[in-house]
Parts: sequence; C-alpha cells; structure tokens
Amino acid sequence: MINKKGVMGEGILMIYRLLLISFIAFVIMGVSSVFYAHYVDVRDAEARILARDVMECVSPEGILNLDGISVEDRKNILSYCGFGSEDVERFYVELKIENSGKVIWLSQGDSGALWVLDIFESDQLSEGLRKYEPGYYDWSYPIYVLENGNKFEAEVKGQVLISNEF
Amino acid sequence: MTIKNKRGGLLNQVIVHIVLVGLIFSLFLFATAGKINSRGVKQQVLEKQLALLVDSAVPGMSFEIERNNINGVVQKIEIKEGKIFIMVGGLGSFKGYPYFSKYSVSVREEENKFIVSVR
Repeated sequence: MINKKGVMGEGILMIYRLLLISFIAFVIMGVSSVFYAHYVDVRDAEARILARDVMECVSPEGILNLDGISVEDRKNILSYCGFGSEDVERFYVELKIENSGKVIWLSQGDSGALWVLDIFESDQLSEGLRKYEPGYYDWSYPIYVLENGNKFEAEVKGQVLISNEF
Repeated sequence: MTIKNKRGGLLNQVIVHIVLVGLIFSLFLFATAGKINSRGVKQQVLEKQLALLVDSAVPGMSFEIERNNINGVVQKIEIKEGKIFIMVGGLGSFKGYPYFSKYSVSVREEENKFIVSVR
C-alpha cells in the first residue's frame, strides 16, 4: 500500500530543492553579469562633436552673425542649428559671447545638469556610479561678431554637456 | 495487496532529480557563457563606434561595416527612431544607441557588408 502522505512530502521536498538550486544558479549568474559587464563611455567624444557642429552652425567662416539669430533662437540654439527635439533632450549647450563687459548668451537645455557634473568631479564616487557621469567639453577662443551691422572682436566660451542615455 | 518495489521507486526519484537539476544548470551555463564571451561589450563597441561616425559625418559620406568584424559576426544593422541597433554574434539589440546627426541616415545590406550612408 502506498503511503500517500509520504509521496506528497517527497514532492514538496523536491520543489524546495529545485527552488534552492535555481536561486543559487541565478545568484551566480547575477554576480558574473556584474563582473563581466563593462560600460563603454563615449559621451566626451559626443560632446566634442556637438561643440564642433554648433560652432560651425553659428559662426561659419569664423564670423558670428547675431542679426540672423532671433531672441527666441538664442534660447533654442540647437533647434536653430537643425537638431531634432528628440535628439536634444540629453544635451545642454551654452555659448557665452563677451566683449568689453557686454555678454550675450546662446543656449539650449537644462543648465541644472552642470551641477550634476560637479557632483561627479568629486573623487569619492564608486566606479559603478561613474557610468552616470555626463560627457563634457568646454572651449574658449576669440571670434568676430556681427551685430546691427557692426563687426567687433569678442571671446566665445562654450560648454557642452551630454547626459547618459539610460 | 500490491507491494511497491521501494528500490525502483527510489531510482525513479533520483533520475527525475538529476534530470531537473541538469536542465536548470544547462540553462544557467548557456546564459553565463553569453556574458563571459562579452558579446554585450562587443555589441556596445560596434553601436557606439557607428553612432560617433554618423554624428561626425557630413552629407555624402558612407561607412562600410564588414560582416566578419573583429567584434564578431554582424548579422543585422538597423537604424530607426534615431538609434542604431546592431545584432552581433547572435545577440539581438533592444536598446541601441542614439545618434544626433541632423542629416538623413540609412543602411543598405550587401552580401558581406553593410553600408551606412549619410545624406
């Protein structure tokens, strides 16, 4: 005569053992995923490319014609340069044109992303968080500016920040 | 009254145990092998390389990607919704990598290579 309670007990024990083995297998797989995964960061390179594109757009041949950039376009400089709205969500671009105390700003994006960069410049962050560090490029050089028909020399200081794609 | 053969019953249980444990571990080994081969990293490298090339390209440029690549055999390259998806070494791409080129980008498949054109 078969002991039915004994058979059910064996079944429950088997399920428990299988669950335990599956759990151990998942833990080992999870650890190996973390160990072998590597994030390839190309955002600094993207920032340089975007900086080049923006400068070629606003100052072809080295002359920045402010008469051709409206007040609205000065706050949406990436859209003015032909970049789509979906593309620009990760970007912050800022151009500061300075001449004899007068400052003109051309920008687009969330300037708050710059303080995120400041956090990552601290050495205390772990390697695991480094993949969230934004890509960044800044530059500064003299440029000719055309405004109201007047041409004058100014200095342009630019920053491009690219957030992660997650 | 039927007396159950205890040895036969025990053997059946052990065999069932071994088969189930073997199935679980073979699934686990296949999944881990994919990670150890670093297919994901190679896929990342290819997608990001191509995205950077597309971002820095001007109209009229085109890039050829050989199927037998140093990062593995490239099975498919797709460009859609502003992202680049590359299937390499049997590993499909679900996230892709975004590019920001303002020009039109397309991909054409040939026998032993893919040609990405920027217009």
